[in-house]
Amino acid sequence: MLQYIGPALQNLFRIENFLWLNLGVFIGSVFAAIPGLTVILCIILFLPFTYQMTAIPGMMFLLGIYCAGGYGGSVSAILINTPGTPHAAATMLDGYPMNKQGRTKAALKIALYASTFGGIFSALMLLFLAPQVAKLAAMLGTAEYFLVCLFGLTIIAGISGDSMLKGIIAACLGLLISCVGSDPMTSRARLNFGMDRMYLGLDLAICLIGLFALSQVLTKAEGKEERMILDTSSLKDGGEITREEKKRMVRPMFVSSLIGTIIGIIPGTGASMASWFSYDRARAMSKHKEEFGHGSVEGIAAAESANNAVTGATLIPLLTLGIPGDGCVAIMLSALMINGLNPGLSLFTTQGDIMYAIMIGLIFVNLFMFLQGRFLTNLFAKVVSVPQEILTPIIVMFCFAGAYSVNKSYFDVGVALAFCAIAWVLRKIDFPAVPILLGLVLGRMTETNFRRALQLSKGSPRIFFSSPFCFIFIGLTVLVVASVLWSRFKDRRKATDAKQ
Amino acid sequence: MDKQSSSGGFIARIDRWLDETGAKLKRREMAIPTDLVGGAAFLIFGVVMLLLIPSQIEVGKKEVVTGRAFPSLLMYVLIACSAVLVLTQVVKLVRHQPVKTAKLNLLTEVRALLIFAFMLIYFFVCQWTNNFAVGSCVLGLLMLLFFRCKKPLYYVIVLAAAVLIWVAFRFGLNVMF
Repeated sequence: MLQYIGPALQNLFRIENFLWLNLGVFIGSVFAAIPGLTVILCIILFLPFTYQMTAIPGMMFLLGIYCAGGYGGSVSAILINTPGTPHAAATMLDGYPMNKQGRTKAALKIALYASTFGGIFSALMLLFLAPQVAKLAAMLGTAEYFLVCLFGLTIIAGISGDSMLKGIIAACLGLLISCVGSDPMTSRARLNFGMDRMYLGLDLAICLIGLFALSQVLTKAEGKEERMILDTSSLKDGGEITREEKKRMVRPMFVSSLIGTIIGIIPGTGASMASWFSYDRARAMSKHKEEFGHGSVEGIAAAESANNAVTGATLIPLLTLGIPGDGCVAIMLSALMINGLNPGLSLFTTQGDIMYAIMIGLIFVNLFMFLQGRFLTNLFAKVVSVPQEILTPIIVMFCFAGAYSVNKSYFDVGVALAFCAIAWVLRKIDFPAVPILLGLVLGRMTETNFRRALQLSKGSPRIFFSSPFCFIFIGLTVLVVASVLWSRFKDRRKATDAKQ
Repeated sequence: MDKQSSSGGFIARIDRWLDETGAKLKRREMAIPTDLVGGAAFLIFGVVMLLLIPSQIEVGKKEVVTGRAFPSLLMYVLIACSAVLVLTQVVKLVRHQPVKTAKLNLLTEVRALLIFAFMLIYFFVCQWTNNFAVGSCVLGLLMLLFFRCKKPLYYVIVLAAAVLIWVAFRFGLNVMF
């Protein structure tokens, strides 16, 4: 590891990297501060920009958006009682009451300190844990890799949406779409329906623009939301945090960062689960339980440090196994792969200087997020009330420009529109879209390993039961399915009991 | 003065007509059994794809695992899951138990379809003129009219943004459109 630190720092300390990093942090904070706009939407919109960049500035830019998104959501949660991102909902419980007590800036400061702590904690965990997990990943063969992909897909299909069956159906759809284009083993055309252009396959960024960005525009336009008016006079308090309050923040920040990191490593869980779980733990451990829900310092610190601690942890399965921890990092995988960086141990050995630069860069992302939060909070607060009449057409323009710029083709814009229509129909029939994204991302890897394994065993499926690792991953997949089914069964029984 | 008041009256009449139409559409709702419809749709999709796969994917004679294997396997899983989804819903219907439904409001759906139509217009204008800025201005105007925006400043901001995005991609990222 140490041999890569020097070259990595040399690669990282370039003005270009820090410019993109700061731009990403700024854009991420603005997007997350506006209710209705999500971090995933922001990453999708700006992904085509990174196709023109090399790996380090591209990843710094995307990581800037991703991490700042964790903090930015708390701005509107504290100011207008509306979380900018779903994972800021727990912050709102105490952030808004604190704002009502005339301590708006103090609440924003606590959120910022906690977010920065959680982010740096998680970045350090990534730096030290990822190479170890990668060494373990290097011991896996093609059959084990296929089972890892299957495990990743199962866990995500299981917990997104209200039905596991619907999650699996959506994941299958995503995997099928990833089959469009050339066969990864023989290079023959597949599922191109007579269109030569389809031989290149459907670019992930274009599919995502349609699935998540354009479809969100339709959602926003379906019901005209009232513009949220922000009283900026509420930002004129001193923002002092007493020494006693600072002391009380330490324990929940540390515990929640640990919880956030552990939850972040598990694919498909995400920041919302981490922040709610940590909030609950902080309340259970607090000596001032009565303050929770009424402007508790510990409540804000716990929720915010947990949701930012997820950011680095989600990268651990992504960089080592190629399994994205959540939707946002799934998109980042394509930014890595376009630069020839494929997940696994080689990423930490042959391309160690780049990889360590990115991982150390994540610490700087959090530091710059802190600086921007410290000096630009007033600006982030003002964008909360940008009217949707202005935002909606601008998002569509960005989507079209982004979709076109990937291959400089209107065909791709048409594909994005088709995916928008698919996403809209799926939403109407209540099918989740996130498993489609995971299917798209993991499709090639899953199929290639599946076919390679079967070719090695001359078609015998016994290869999928041939090593202890295979049994571990099969066991984990079964465990996930069983636990999801059990929790659904319990929920249903509770609902029936409540009715009776 | 007269001209102004008559144009003001015209806009007020359009506003009133839109309000009345919107109120009428808002009252129209229908419930769809989501799992049943979704399951059936995917069941049909899976079967159609299974039938299409042989014509869409060529295979060699000596391959142990062909290019059809993985997509076919996916479709079998998809069909099985869809069938279970449909069956559970049918059983519930037979037993007169409540099935999962979603309410579709006509006003909401019409609004979404209108926005989608604007996107299609945007797509065709961009392609026809081969100029992104022109298409973006058209989209911006349509969207602002859709939101019934009456503030001239918003029109200026959106049109300026359309040109700025074009400039950023055209000269910043060298995307010729």
